[in-house]
Order: sequence, then C-alpha cells, then structure tokens
Amino acid sequence: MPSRKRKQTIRRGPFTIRNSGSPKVSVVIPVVNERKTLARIIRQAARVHPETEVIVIANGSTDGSGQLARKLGARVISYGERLGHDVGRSIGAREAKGEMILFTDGDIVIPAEQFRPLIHAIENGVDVALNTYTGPIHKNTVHSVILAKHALNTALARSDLSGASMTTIPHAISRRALHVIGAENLTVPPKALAIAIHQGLNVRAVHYIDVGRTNPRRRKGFKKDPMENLIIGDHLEALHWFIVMTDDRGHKSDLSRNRDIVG
Amino acid sequence: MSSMRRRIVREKAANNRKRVKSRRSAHTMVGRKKWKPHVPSRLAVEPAVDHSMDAWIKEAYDAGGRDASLHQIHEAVDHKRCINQYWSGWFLSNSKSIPWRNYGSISNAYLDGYSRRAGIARPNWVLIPTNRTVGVIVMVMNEEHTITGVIEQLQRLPLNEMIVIVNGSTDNSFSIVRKISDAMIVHYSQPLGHDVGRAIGANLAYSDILLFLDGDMPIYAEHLVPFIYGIEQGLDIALNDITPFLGVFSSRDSVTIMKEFINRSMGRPDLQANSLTAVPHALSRKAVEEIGCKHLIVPPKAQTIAIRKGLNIGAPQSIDVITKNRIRDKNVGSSNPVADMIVGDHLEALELAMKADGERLALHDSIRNRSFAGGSGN
Repeated sequence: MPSRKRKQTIRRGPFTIRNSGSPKVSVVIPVVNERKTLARIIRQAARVHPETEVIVIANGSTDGSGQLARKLGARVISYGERLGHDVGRSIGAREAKGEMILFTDGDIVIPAEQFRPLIHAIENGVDVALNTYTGPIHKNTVHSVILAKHALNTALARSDLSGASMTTIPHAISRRALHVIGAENLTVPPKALAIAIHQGLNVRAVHYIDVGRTNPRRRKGFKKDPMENLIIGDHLEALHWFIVMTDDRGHKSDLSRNRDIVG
Repeated sequence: MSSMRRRIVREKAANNRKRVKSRRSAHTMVGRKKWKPHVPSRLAVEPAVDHSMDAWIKEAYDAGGRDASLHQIHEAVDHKRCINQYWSGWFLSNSKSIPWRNYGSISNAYLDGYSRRAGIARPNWVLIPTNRTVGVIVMVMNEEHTITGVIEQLQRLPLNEMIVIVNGSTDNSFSIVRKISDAMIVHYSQPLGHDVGRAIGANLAYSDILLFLDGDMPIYAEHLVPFIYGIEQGLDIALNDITPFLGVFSSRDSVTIMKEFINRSMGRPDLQANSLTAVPHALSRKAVEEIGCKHLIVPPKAQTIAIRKGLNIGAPQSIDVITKNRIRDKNVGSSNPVADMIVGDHLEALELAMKADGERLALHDSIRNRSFAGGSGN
C-alpha cells in the first residue's frame, strides 16, 4: 500500500472538500475508526454532485477519525461512544439539508461515478434507489442474511428486487422518502424498506456496485458473526411491522379456504 | 492350449488397460467418473458380490417360508396386514443388522418365501417395516386421469385405512375411487380450499402413522416406505427432501425462499427448504395431536408449531415432485395466486412465532443505542 512508504497518512497535504451551502445531495457516512479510508471516501463523496455536502457521524472513534474528517472539510457530528450499526444514518438523515440523501459506509472506497446512477434515479422520480448487489447467490446454500433479504422482498411482493436491500450500501433516498419512512426508522434498514414499499414509494434497484469485500461474514475471527443475527433480527422486525400493518398474511389471499370445517 | 491362450489374451488386455490408465495426465482426472475398484479380468463378467445382502435375502426367504408354515391365516382376516405383521416382527428384531438400502430386495425375498410355502400366487405387495397402524389420506379435486394410478399403488401397501377427500370435483374422480377401492371417501361438492382436505382426513383417521398424498401424482409404493419407517423410528414429521431437485439459490422461486427462511428463522437450518407445504409427507399421531388438525390447514403454521413444541422432524426420503409439478395452470407465471397464498401462509406462521417469541424471535438488538436515532418509534 502506498501509504506505507510515507510517514503521514494524508499524502496530499491539506486537500479539503467544500460543502455546499444549499446542497442538492447530502452524503451520510457513519464512521467509527476508518482513518485508512476516510480521506478517499470523503473526496469521492464530495464529487457526487456539484452541490453536495458530506456529513460524517463519528461515533466511538479512538483513532481520530472525527478530527480527520473535520480537517478534510466534512460536516462532522461526534459522539464519544459507539452508537451501533446504522444509528448514524438516522442522525445524518436528520441533519441533512439536501433534497437527496446518499448513504455509504466508511470502510469501502466507492468512486463518485458509481454513486451517480443512484442520484440520477432520484432526480428522475425514484424515492429509494438501491444497489442491485445481492451477494453470492449462484450456490446451493446462501448466507442467512442473503436469504433474509430475499424473503423480505418476497413478503413485500417485490421479488423483482431480488436480494437488494437498504442494509446494503450505497443507496439513496429522496426527501419525500425520508419524510414517509421517518429518520428514526433508518436505524433498522429492512424496516425502512418495508415502510417505503408498503407506503407506496417508488423503490427500485438501480445500479450494481460491488461491495462484497466489506460483508460482515468476511471479517476474520468470528465463528458466529454477531452482525448476522442482528441483521436477521432486523428482517424479522421488518416482517413483524408489515404483518401488523396488514393482516397476519400480508394481505395475501388464502383463496377462500374453508377453515371452519375442522374445529 | 486354447484356455491358456485365452488367459494370456485376457491378461494382455488387462495390462494394456493399465498402461493406458497411467498415461493419462493429471488434468484429465478432472470430470472423470467416480473411481471404481479395479476388478481382475477373470471376474470381469461377474457382478460384485455383497455377502451381507445375499445372506439376508436367504434368511428372509427362509423366514417367510417358516412363517407361512407356522401360521394359517383365517379367510376373514386381511391377509396383507397379517403377513405384514409377521414380516415386521422379523424385520424389527433384526433391523439393526439388516442393511437398509437392501430393504426392497430383502422384503421381497420374504414375500417370495412366504407365498411359495403357502402355495399362493406371489402378490405384488410392498411390506412395511412397522407394526403400528398406518393410514393414508389422499386429496382429490379433478384427478380422474391420475387417481387410478395413485390408488393402485396404495393398494399394494398393508394399510389400516385409506381416506380419500374429494372436494369440488367436476369430473369422474369420485366414481373411479368408489369403483376401484373400498377407501373411506369424504365428498364435498364445493371446493374446500388448499390443504383443508388434510385437516379433515387427519381428523377422521385413527392410525398411528399417517401418510398424506395428492391424487395428481402416483408414487410407487416402494418409495413411500421410508416415510413410514421414519415415523416408526421416532420421527413425528417425515418430510420429503426436495433439496436434490432444487437448483442454485438464484434460480429458486418465492415459495422455496420462504420455506427455507422460515426453517432457518425457527432454528432448523438443517431442514433447508423442506416443508409440510409439500406432499408426500407423514405424521405421527403425536404430531397430529400436538399440532391440532385445524392447523394442518395452513401447513407452514403447522410446521412452526411442531418446531416450537420440539417435535422430531426429519426428511428421510427424496421424491421428485418438482419437475412434474412445474406445469400446472395456477402455478406458473409471475402473478401466481397459489404462490402468493403460500407466501401468505408463511407470514401467518411467522406471526404465530412472533406472538410467542417476540418480533425478532429472540435475536435481540443489543448492539444499537436506538435512543440516538430519535423518534417515538412505531
């Protein structure tokens, strides 16, 4: 890696981004400890649109990620403790001034060109523009998280979305979507998706961005990844919400079964 | 001498084959057929000898003959069930040593021996390895083209009861069943809806082991034996294992995805996509009582209840119901009312589990500090 040759992590000196005062796009990036990738990520995020603001939610950082982000010109909201997965999205969404909100993570550098199709979709009327990435599905046994994503989309009568999900980054939402879903619900991404679909928002899987390298299961050292259970539980929470909002069958007809015939 | 020359020729051929084999390089090993043991050329024409199976076949044949000479079956008694009782007595006392994969040949040998000694024509029955009562419940709507085949196979089994539920039929299904069997027929002029017939049949049956079948697909009696044996050996639910017939995940339909999802959510990833939604399957009497006949109407719900109650669930047999089932007018196409119904069934099942175990089914969120996300929560 090039940074190993030099003593300083930031190689190019004081390159900073300029946040737009009245942004069209707000890029929300929750971050714990991401010094290695943060500079590149922030730079790419800033390039998404001429009028962009980059919001970094630094929570529980011990490597100075928050200060680094501030130095680079991002809007930074800091918390001393870790808030947990996806809570940063809710906070960032609430702070966002843009008409379109793009969510990404601090551990994978995605070039601005890969974000733009999502933004264009929102400009053209899509409310929730998803990454079409599904993870490896051309095998017999898939990871439980992949199964859960597919099952949720099936239950919501959107099997056309295949395994696309608001758990996966990057994805973008319109301001209207933010209003309908509610910022607090972005903390449980599958639930946010269920709300979006059930309330009739325009939800599309728009563009393929390969984020496979950052899937939790690839992190070494975990026998049973706690993220896995969290994400599956999120999908169950989403399904529960959907069941409560509809009837206990998700409004799917049982084709006139005569249930009373057996006591 | 000619026999010596024959031997020399054979050995030369064998040596040639060995040489050709060793010339094959490593990369041609890829995609080769499964390795088979090298059989010396002398025995090349004789089949591999399995002492265990041969010995048991002889034992079974002799046991059949012995039982035939020991017992005289009264005319009024059901011969098939009676002989099966002798068979299962013998089989179960030897079951630990008898190789299960040879069950067919060994049980046939018993019947050969029995009928030979008894001086009767060899019947085409299929003996089952249980002394417990066995009933079959067949669901029928408009199955006049297939129901004969279904019933004929079932008549080869020593059943205690056969219950055929005919509902909403507009063809000759009823009269065919009446003509070819003395099954108990439960007839409704109106269609009752999917899976209701199972509940009715289960409610009426008294047998200890219940097999559920559809009237649209004849299945060889031999292929039904593992379901029965599964229950005999302690399963409460013996499912059909459709795993070998599923393609990779990306090719699977909505229903298969939901089946697998609910099994994993209920802590049974080993069940993969196997489900009470599909037939054939078998239930123990205990399963029927614990689940409740009424819940059999929504099969995923029944399965969820069974898992929660700790019933023994396995999939001891694999019958390809998928390939044949592909073409059925309500089942194809993207807007597929039956598929939607089954997805809805799975949501009902999840709702039942969530009522008992919480909205996240015990996969609590202990990682997030949700108060920072704000909002009143909905």
